[in-house]
Amino acid sequence: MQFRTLLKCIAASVFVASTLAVSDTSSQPYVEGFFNKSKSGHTNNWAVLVCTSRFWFNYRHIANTLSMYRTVKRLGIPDSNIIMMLADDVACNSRNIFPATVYNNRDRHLDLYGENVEVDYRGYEVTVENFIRLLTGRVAKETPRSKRLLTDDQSNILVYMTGHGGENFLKFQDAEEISAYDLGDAFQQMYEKKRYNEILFMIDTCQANTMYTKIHSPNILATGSSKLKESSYSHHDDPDIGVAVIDRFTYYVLELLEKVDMQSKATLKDLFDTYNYNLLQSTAGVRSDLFNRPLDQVLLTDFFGNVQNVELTEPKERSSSVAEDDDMTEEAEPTILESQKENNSQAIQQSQQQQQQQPQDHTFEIGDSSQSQTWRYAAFVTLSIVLGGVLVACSTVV
Amino acid sequence: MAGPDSRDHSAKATVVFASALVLRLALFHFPALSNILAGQVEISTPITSFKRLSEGVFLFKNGVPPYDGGVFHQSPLLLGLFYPIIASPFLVKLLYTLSDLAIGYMLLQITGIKDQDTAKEKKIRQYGDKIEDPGMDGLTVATLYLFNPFTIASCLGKSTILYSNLAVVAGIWMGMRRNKSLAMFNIALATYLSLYPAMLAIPVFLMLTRDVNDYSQVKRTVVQCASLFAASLVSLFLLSFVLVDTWDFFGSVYGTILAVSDLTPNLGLFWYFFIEMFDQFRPFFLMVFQIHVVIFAIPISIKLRHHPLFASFLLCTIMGAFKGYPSIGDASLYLGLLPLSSEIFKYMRYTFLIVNLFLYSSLLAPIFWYLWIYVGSGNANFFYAIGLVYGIGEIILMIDSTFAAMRRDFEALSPPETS
Repeated sequence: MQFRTLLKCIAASVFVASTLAVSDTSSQPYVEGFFNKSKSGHTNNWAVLVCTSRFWFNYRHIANTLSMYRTVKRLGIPDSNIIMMLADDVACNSRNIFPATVYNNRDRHLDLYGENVEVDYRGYEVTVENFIRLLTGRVAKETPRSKRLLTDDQSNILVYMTGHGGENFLKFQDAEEISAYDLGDAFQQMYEKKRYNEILFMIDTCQANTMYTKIHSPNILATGSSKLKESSYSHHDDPDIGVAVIDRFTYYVLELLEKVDMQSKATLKDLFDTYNYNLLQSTAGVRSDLFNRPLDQVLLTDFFGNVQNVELTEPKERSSSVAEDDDMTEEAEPTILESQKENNSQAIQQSQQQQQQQPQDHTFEIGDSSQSQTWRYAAFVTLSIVLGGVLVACSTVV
Repeated sequence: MAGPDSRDHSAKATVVFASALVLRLALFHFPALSNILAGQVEISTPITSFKRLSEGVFLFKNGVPPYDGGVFHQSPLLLGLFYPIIASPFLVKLLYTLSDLAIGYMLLQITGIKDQDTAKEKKIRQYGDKIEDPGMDGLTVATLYLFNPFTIASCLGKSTILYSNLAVVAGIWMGMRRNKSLAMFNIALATYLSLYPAMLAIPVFLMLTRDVNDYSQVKRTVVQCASLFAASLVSLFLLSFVLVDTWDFFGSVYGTILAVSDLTPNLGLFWYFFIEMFDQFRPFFLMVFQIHVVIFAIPISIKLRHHPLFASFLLCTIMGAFKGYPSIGDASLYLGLLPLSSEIFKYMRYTFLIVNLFLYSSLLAPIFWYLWIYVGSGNANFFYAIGLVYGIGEIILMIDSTFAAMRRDFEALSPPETS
């Protein structure tokens, strides 16, 4: 008796477990994977690219930001989803001997400022206040749409910042600083307002890793170019432009990203594995404790791109009626052409007739009217002579 | 008058008129000069422009109603006058030159009649028993008119105000000759051409009746003159209707003169004012401006009834200063009529100022026009200011000459005492 009951219990539990297992694993991942791509839960991508430095010798910071801009655009994020903040305009700087261009490499093969660049916050608009207002969504009522971060709880945001920084701060415009605490609070506000699904925070400054130490909101992955008490270095300079054109960290990140396209399955782990102290000459760091997913399952295109999940459905089969239509049109064409030719000839004949008729309808006839003019003029002259005679006669009498 | 005087006189007259003719034809020989002057706003206005006249004649020749376009605002009789001759530039130049010479000749004749009148009237005594010096002789008057730069410029610019001026001077001449019908006809013709000379009917009437003492005869003359004036005007209108076969010319010609619809800048007061005026005030100000032109006719004629020549000069100056579209052709008319009253010159006080104002404004007006329109470094205010300076010159001329005439009258009654 006990043995049978035990067997029944085992069979029932096995049956229930298998049913549950089947129901859990068979369709749901497919469904979830379809509607939430890559299981990350985001449906749209945004990028906030910030260059905080002003002045000509910080050319490389502008070049950094424009390189990231180019990358995210290339991988599919549209301008409407990119907020780019450039604190200075080096392309049109009077010191730029290649005006209206920004290069990130000495070979100058790629002009980052070439066409189709949309800068949302420029010059003195790049301030700490504007940045924090942008992130938290507490912008002024009259702020245009292009200057707002219109994210929702299914947005993955790439926040890239570059400039001059230090321990727990980042310098804006040579006049003010944003601290790591401010950044952490801003991200917390975003979390509370459900303004993001996941954030990748990338920062390329001196002592960059300190900037992400004070973040305390979930689903934020951060990476920086150098740790406390370390500087981040520029990569190389262009002897013609005269200043450094790219930073090391961004340069090596781009080296990987340039090989990525929209179909790429490269992950963030691949990116972080390329961090090499010998190349960067600084210790790049990653903070993933707030991030839920394992890094080898996070695609680069989850943050740098805007890959949409598309499924093609089978096209409807064309029936034989289509072939019949073709035949009909082929047969109809000659007749149509012939009738058109007939119409054309008729039209030509009609227009010729009209042209012949036109001189007779024209109002500026020289022939007829001038004859009437002459008669009228003759009448006028005669009448005036008559009246003149009357006048003279009058003058003698009166 | 016979004898060597008249032969000298006629020789001098020939010299003057011949040189005036030669000068004009010689200057006409350079068509560039004529074209430049015809384009100057000081010379040609929308109602006297030769370019618009040629446009009208062209339209008329091709059977298009000339008044439909809104560009031609001149009387149909001018169309009739130019219709046969506009094809030949020489005939046109000759016509203008001969009209100018005709005005000079008439001024000569008017002065002669005036001298005869002066010979009869009581002598003015000045400064003791000294009798007043005789005024300018006719040839000087004619010379002053013919060689006035304004006259020459207006003639070269082919402004059609010349024909209105011709009619005015002819009316004055006929008035001095006591020829009622021709005088009234000429004033009617001048009215027909540019409307404002209607005011001159009163001084001309005074000229016609200057020696008549019988009040009933004066009344009869009034009736006669009025009916002659009306009849002439009506026949002129009928003649125009025969020519252009439409009554549109009323609106086009007299409508433009009265309503000042074309605000092309000129040396007058209207255009600047009316450009910036709101539409609801326009009729009121238009009425005020137009009344301002004609309101002086009766008071001046009453006060100066014994000096109808001077009254006609004064009314011509008022017309030239306050009309809607003044030009230097109007200036040439009253500056030509001024020497007819040359005996007042010694009583005028501001001659230097008047001459300077005329000189200043006539030199600066083209310069400021150029600065405004072509260079763009000036603006409308510059040109309008010069127009105002010109207006002030005219006004001071009017005031000073009236004062001089009154002063002369006063001295006739009570000459100044000496020692």
